[in-house]
Amino acid sequence: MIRKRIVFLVVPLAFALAALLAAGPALAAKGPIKIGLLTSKKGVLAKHGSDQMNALKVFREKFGDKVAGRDVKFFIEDNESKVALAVTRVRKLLTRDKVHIVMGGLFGSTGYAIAPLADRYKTPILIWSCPDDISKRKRKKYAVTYFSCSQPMHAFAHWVRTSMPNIKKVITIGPDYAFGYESTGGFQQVFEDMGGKVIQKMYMPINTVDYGPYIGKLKKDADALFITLAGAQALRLPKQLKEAGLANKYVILGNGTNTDEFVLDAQGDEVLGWISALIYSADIQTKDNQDFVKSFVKHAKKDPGYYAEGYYGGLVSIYKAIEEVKGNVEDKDKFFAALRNLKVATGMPAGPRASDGHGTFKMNVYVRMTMKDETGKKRNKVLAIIPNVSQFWNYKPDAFMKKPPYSRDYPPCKNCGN
Amino acid sequence: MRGELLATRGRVIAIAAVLAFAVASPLFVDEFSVLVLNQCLIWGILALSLDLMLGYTGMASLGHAAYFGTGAYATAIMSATYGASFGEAFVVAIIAAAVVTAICALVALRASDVYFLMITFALAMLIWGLAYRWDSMTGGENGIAGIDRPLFMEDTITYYYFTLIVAAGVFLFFSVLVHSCFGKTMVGIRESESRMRALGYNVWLHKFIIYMISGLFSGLAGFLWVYYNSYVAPTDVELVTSFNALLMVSLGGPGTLAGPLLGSTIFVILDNSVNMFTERSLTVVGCIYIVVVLFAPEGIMGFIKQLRTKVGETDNG
Repeated sequence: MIRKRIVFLVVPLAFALAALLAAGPALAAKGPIKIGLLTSKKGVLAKHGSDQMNALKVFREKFGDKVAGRDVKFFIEDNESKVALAVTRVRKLLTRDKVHIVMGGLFGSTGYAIAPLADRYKTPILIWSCPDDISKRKRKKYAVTYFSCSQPMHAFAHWVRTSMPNIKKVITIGPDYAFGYESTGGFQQVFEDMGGKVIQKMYMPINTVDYGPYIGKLKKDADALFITLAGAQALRLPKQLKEAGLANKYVILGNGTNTDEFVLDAQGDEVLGWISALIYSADIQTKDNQDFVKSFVKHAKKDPGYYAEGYYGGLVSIYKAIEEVKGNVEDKDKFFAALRNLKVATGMPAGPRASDGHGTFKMNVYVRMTMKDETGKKRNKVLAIIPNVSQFWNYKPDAFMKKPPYSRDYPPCKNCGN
Repeated sequence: MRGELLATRGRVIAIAAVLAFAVASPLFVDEFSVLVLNQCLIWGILALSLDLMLGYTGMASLGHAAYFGTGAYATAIMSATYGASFGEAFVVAIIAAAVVTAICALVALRASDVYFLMITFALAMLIWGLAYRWDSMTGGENGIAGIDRPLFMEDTITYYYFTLIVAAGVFLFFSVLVHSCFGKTMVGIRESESRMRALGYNVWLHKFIIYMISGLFSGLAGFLWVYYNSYVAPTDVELVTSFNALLMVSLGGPGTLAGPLLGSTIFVILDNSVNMFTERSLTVVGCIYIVVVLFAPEGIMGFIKQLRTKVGETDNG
């Protein structure tokens, strides 16, 4: 009996220990090119993570596991939607798997957490989420971002002021962390510089369940709401706005994540008519995108959203950079320089992108309206394409970076009053 | 008598073996394994300090994330925001942990048993709330990133040895403590509070001191953790952290010193290894815990102790 118990205890533990110690250090220099990918398979971002994994499948199907004459090996780590765990997982990729590059990070805050590791281990990280300051005031030697969270919102605010001049007073609503501040801040900055007014700002925790108290406080004299939602918020807030009878009272503007395709099918008709902007929409009518959508639908049985496109596009960028250094990723400085100065003209579902020289890229921003097509399927119909948008919009980079970063208190709400 | 002597010798050999392994391991494993071992040590210190309350004194706390988190946040804020040195951050972290622990202890010690558990939990949620909402200080949900270790221990292995020395010191201090008269009083309180009171012991004061020691060392673990991870976020302070600490102690064996260390080691290794093989890592780890709890309800150390008695009985018979 006792022996049996010992076996029960010892066997699983021995397995775990053996697994950890024997998984073995990496092979010598000229093996395959190793790409580390960070995603979330559990927790609030599991759905986004599954879109990313499907995008990876599409990518591998199209480009294969070979680039510039060398084999490619992917290492996937799951940070369970926890920012602190992302640090541990990326460290594992860098020290155990000894990858040549890391891509990933779903929350804006994950980007800030893992960016220092790029310099610590002198390995390029393509930060897939959009932390503003990694390409502005807190630049790293070895980290680039896929885009900057405020970048599409600058362009969007400009579009709103020019195309919908009747919208003069706006209330902003956003999640209470980096992404919310940067999205809201970007919109407010340009909107107010062009004569608009933000008359109320609200930030709420990402796991808020009941939006009643916030909805009850909305000022009545606003023309529009500018909403930024993340994760499950995108399911709850629209419903509660409708239940409060406010769905038609305001024009609803927002970040494209509100109605991203990762959640669009699960949302009800209450999001119809929402106008948003982002760096992607499944509705883009280019051949590159149509091909991508087709293969993605085959794997995922749903349309790709920006989480899927971004992962795919990130991988395309990485392959392109590898080709530019002719597969010599061991020369990290050259490899990183190639990635940082990258220009991709074709092959990206979201259209061309080019380095802006500051650690992120210039790209198209799409203004979309959520509506139903002939078949009754919800889509983010592209209303306008704003090409070649820089993270600094039309501002001078140096002057821009002298201002404080977008935060809970910046830009200040001059017109909030009481 | 002879048995006792043998047991002591066995213990010394075991400790020496573990120490030798810990000292030598960076020589033959890769950097990632050193990082994992470092994690084991840091969580081990947290588990040890919880065990002082849970195992030795019978005070089950579900709030150790608060003291851990206070140490961690104080360190991060001092280091990243105010540019304080390692030593300065240490002093502030310990003082902050002491203040928070004292306040929590004064409140929580008014209750006992499950009510004590609930109060410690509630107090920990307050600290979590601060970490989450006190944006200007803690960075809110973003956390605080970019906390750099001093240059001489920037290297993974050096920091590992530093943590090892600290952990060994903590272990030594705790073993002196639990074998002292004060330690016996702790066990007395666990077994029967009313009897201890009748014997003239100031039970409340004893509990308060134990709480303080436990909180301080949790703060120390938090301090080490921040310099380890160079990042701190509200997730470090949430219920899961308290719960994990509780799990490590009960897994290894409450009321022993080796138990929490063993528990934290197993916990960290499982946490880092199982997900290499399966996406369902949480399920696998959960099953392993269920097996352990079913077959060794007193934790692994308790199980070994029980085994030893059985073997001893057969020897005699």
